[in-house]
Formats: sequence, structure tokens, C-alpha cells
Amino acid sequence: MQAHILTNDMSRIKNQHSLPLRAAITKVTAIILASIVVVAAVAAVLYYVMVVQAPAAPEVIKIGWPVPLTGPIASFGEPDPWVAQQIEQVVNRDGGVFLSAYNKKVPIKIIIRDTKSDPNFAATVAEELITREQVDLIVVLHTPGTTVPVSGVCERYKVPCIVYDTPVLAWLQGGPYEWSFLAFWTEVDVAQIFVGIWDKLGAKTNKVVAGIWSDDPDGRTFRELTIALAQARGYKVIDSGVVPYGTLDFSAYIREWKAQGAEILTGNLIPPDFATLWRQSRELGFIPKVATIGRSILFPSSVEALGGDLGIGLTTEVWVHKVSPFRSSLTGQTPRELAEEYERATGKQWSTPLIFSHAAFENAIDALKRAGSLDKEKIRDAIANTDLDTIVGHINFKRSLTEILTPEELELYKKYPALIQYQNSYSITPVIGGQWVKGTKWPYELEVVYNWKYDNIPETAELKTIPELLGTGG
Amino acid sequence: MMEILSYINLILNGLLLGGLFALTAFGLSVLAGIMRVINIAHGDFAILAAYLSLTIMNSFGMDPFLSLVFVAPIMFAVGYFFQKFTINRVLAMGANQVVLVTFALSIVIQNLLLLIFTADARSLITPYLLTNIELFGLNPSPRYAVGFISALIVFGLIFIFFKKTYLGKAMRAVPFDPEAAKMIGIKSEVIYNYAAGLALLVVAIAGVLLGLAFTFYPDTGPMYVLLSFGVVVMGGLGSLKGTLIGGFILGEALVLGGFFFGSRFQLMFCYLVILAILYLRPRGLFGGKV
Repeated sequence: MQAHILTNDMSRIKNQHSLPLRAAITKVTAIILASIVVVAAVAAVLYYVMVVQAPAAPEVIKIGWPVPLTGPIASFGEPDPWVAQQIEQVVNRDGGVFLSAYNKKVPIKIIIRDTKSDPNFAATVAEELITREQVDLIVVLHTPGTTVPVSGVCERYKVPCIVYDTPVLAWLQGGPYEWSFLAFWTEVDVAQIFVGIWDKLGAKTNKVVAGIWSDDPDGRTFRELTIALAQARGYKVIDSGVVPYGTLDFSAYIREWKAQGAEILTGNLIPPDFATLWRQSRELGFIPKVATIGRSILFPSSVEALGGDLGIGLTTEVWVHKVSPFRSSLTGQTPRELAEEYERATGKQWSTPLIFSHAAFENAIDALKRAGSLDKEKIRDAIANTDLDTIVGHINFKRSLTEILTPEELELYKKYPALIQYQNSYSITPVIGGQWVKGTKWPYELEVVYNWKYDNIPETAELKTIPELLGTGG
Repeated sequence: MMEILSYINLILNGLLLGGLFALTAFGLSVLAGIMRVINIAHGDFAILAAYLSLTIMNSFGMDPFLSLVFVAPIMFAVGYFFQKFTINRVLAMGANQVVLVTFALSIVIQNLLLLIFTADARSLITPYLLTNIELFGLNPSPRYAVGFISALIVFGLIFIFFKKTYLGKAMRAVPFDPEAAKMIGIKSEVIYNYAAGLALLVVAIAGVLLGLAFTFYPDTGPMYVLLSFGVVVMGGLGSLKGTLIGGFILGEALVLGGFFFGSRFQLMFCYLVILAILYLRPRGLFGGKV
């Protein structure tokens, strides 16, 4: 008994000695066991989320669209809410976009956010669309001030981005881009349109050009391009340089142009500044034979707001016209039909950005169909491989510039290395020359007077000088 | 001879443009003088008046000048009631609160205009203002000339109003010594209501004339408040004469600056002139002791 107790005691002592060791082992085992359980649980959840859940198709495809709805460039974004509605209606009418990865049609949802015409705010809303709304791709249009910051955000978050309605060189300055693709005209093309319009007038002018531009990247690029091209074609250029926004008096320049006998006026100014310039020109009796102006007279309302008959005869670049022979890949509409539907639905006169907003979504829907998935890289690659006839012309980012440009044009492009180096980031849409004349349905209407190299776009009127159109003789 | 003529032309156009600037700044000057507050929504009120005129012009085919018969009283009422129900309530809390309230108002007006009129460019320009007038070899701009003449008329009328009428005298008395004014039975709040009404009446005239001269959008207002502020500060806070002269100086600075240094430095030159004047006379040209 005694011995027994002793043994027991002994073993207890022994046990007491080995207790920390055994306890430590159990602790380690417990931790290991617990870790295994946790890892297994996490793996199970991940498996459930990634493998089990994945085949369940997403309920909706989210397309984020930062739009300038308020602020100085709100005119560009004005038709966009209507465009979003039309696109959603057309695409979702029979279930949405077919995504082969889920073997199912998924409806689209276009989420518009106001950029307030502010580049910084445009970047902020793009970020919100990506992080909070978790959009699958971004569509963005309307001037470099909107598209460059938004493309920048898309690059950072690796989200596919479709860009329209931004001159190519201006946009490329924010690059290089891997996730963003642009379709629009190049500044080089527009400079050729401008000089082409004057060439068409031949001996009707004395070939003396007065030029004035806004002090911003667009203005400076157009100044360089227009002066070089005009001089190469034998025009004398009075270069009045660049002016800051909000300039209220141009009389000193106008007097000089008058004194030097300029018969051609050209420039690229913000609309209110051109209005000030053009009114002063009339007051000071300076009526050039032709005035070819970029940016300022895009919208019919801007032409009307010049006052009186000041809009008559102004010439400008035309991105797309009602008579352009293109059709929407979504609705089958021509630009004329789309414009007329817009005018019927809203009671407002159509403007060019309307057609481009539509086209950007043609491109987006086409890419989604071909990607067949919401995997961002697949969508990106699908956009890169676009080969689509849209309402603004053929879109293809993979083509080589040598296929579509003449050797002379290629030389002009080569002056801007970015145009060559990043040629697969953009697709060129056809641009032509137009002239504002008194309209029948609206106060002013735009006629195609110079179709340049696009013979398939008909010219709707003969190019006339401003004095001819004003009825004050040539 | 041609040289001299072109200089005279420049100076003439600067003077005419300056008249328009002074007219634009009068409304701000009146409020600053009587209540010692800066109305940030000043420019937006002017643009609001331009849109009102546009609406009347489009619906009744009325000339923009004639539309003032309606626009001016409407704006007077807007000023009166806005002062009564908003500014008077925060006035006691200090000038900062007033600035904040008018700042908010500026945003509200811009967005309302955008909602109603869209972002399209507008103008009130009538064909008869876009002619090339030649007088003794000079080409005065009809649009600016109208602004200039209106500025002189408005200046004269306000001057007489302040000197000859009871209300005008009361308006001058209140900022001078509010307590004493109260003692002789002048209710400063009521005076402020009328002052705000008067200020907006003048703003209405300026707005319509600006609409006649330039293109406007819903968000054009802030550009003119900046310009007006420059004119008012240069002329001396609270001095109507100073505002008139300040307008002329700014107009000349703009035109001559553009001529000698190029349009690129036009605005910079203007602000340099303002800075130089404030350096020499920190209270502005006609700013008395505050």
C-alpha cells in the first residue's frame, strides 16, 4: 500500500516533471490543428466563392460613364443621358449581351457620373465607379480634359476603357496606354481639312491667312500644324499667336489683319472667345472671304449665340454628318436616323457628340460580346481586336498606319512620333469640312462642302465665300 | 495721321468697354458700400437677369432693352426678399457668414440655370448692334457704346438718388453710424432690403447689357464677380465714383495692355495695374476712412 502510494507519488512527480513538455506538445498540436482547420475553412470558402460560385453568371454588366453634365463643357454631355437610355433599351430588349463563359445573356447597366467639367473630379468619379460600383469597363468621351484623367485612372486600376471624342495627339500626351483605346480624328487630319478648304476656293482668296489660337495644348498643336501646312502650300500666314481664355478685346489684332489684307481667318479658340473676336471683326469691318475655325463652332447653339447673321459662312471640321453613309451596329440607324430620333424624343437640335457617344457604346457592346466574359483582360483584348463598322465609320486598332495613309500623309504623321509609336492605341475616324448656312428647320445648319479623301460621304452644298453668302458680293 | 487715329480708336474702345465694366460693378459697389459685405453671387444675378431677358425676348419677341421694363422690377423684388429672408438673418453673425450664404446662392443659381436653360451658349445680340459704325475715321463698338452710355445714366441716377431722396440719404446714413441711424428712427434692416433691391436692379441692367455684348452660359457669373471685385477694390470700397473711374481704368488697361503686350498678357497687365494702384493707395482711388 505504502509502496503503491509511493509509486503513485513517484509517477506523479515524474508526471509533474514531464508535464510542461507534454503540455507544450499539446499546445503545438493544438495550434497546428487549429491552423489546419482555419486553412481548410478558408480554402473551402475560397473554393465555394471561386469555383462553386463562379459559374453563376453575374446579374448585370456594369459600364461606368463619367460625363460632363454641368460646367463649361456640359454641351458635350447634354445628349448622353438619352444615349444611355437608348443603348440600355436596345441591348436589354432581348436579355442583354450573350457571355459565352456563363452561357447566358446578361443585361447591361450604364452608370453615368457627372464630372462637373473638371479634370480632377473626372478622375475622382472614375475611381469611384471602379472601386465602389465595381464597373466592368469604362466608356468616356468629350475633350482631353475629361478623357485623359479618366484613362489614367483606368490604367492604374487595370480596367478596360473605351475613349471617343478626343483629338488623338492631345490624348496620347497622357499615355502610353495599355487598357485604353481611342477612336477619333487626328489633329494632322483636321489641319489638312482646313488648308484643303482654302485650296478649294482657289483664286477666290489672296492666300493671306490670319491665325489666332487659344493658349492651351490644343491651340498650340493646331497653331504649329496649320502654319506649317499652310506655308508649305504657298499661303502667307500672319501669326497672331496664342491668347488666354476670357480675352475680351481683339481689336489690335483685327486692325493688323485688315491692314495686311488677310482674306482667310483661322484659329482654334474656346467658343466665347471666338464669339468676342468675330463680333469685333464685324464691328471693325473685317469680313474675311473664309473663316475656318476649330472647336468654337461645333454646336449649333454656339453659332446662333454669335448673334445676328454672324454664323453665316463659317467653315469648320465635321466629325460626322447626317449624310455620312454609316450605320449603327446596334440599331442599324444612319447618323440621320439617330439624329432625328433624338430630335423627336427631346425636341432639341442634334449635335455631333451625340453620334460619337452612340458609337462608343457600339464598340463596348461588340467587345463584350467577343470577350464572352467579364474578365477584364479578356475585355481589354477584345477591344484591342475590334474590327467593326460603326455609325462614325470603321473602327480597327490593329491596322497599320501604312495601310490607311498615303506616303505624303505618313510624312506629316511622322513629325509626331507618338502617332507612329502608339498607333495601335487609336483608330482614325473620317473627318470632313463643313460650312454653316441659314437653315430651314433650325436657325443654322451645317453643310458638307469638302469631303477630302472620303468620296463615300457626299458633299451637300458648294463651298462659298462669306461675302457671297451674305449677298455682299465676292 | 493713321497712326494717331488708330491710337485714338484704341483709347475710345477702352473707355467704352470700361463703362460696361463699371456698370457691371455698380451693384457690387452699392452693397459693399452700404452693408460692408461682398455678394459672391453678384455675377450670377447678372447672368440670371440676362436669361430672364432672353426668355422674354423669345416668348414675346421683345427687344432686350425693352425687356428691362420687366426684368428690372423682378430683380428688385428678388434682391429685396432675398435680403429680407436670408442675408438679414446672418448679417449679425459677421461678414463671413454673408459671404458663405451668397456663395451657396451662386451655386444654386448656376445649377438652376443649367437645369432650365441647358449648357448651350446664349446671347441677346440683336443685328442692329453688329454694324460697323464709322465716325470721323473712328470705329466705336456699338455694343460697348451702349454699355458706356447706360453706365453714365445709371451712375447719374444713383448719385441723385443718394443725394436727394430720403431713402437714399438713409442708405448712406446706416453704414456711417447704425446706432445713431436707429435713434432717429431708421430701421437698418428695412434699409438693407431696399439697398439689396436697388443693387439687383442695377445688376439687372448690367446683366442685360453684358448679354448684349458677350456670349453667356449658366456658369459665366463668377467671371464677372471677379472683374467687378477688381473694379470696386481699385476704386475704393463704397465709392460709386471710384467704381466708375475704376471701370474706365480697367477697360483702358485691357485694351492698351492687349495692344502693347499682346492678348496673352492682357489680363495679367490689368491685374498689375490694380496691384499698382492698391500699392500707391491701399484703400483704392476714392476709398475714404473705413
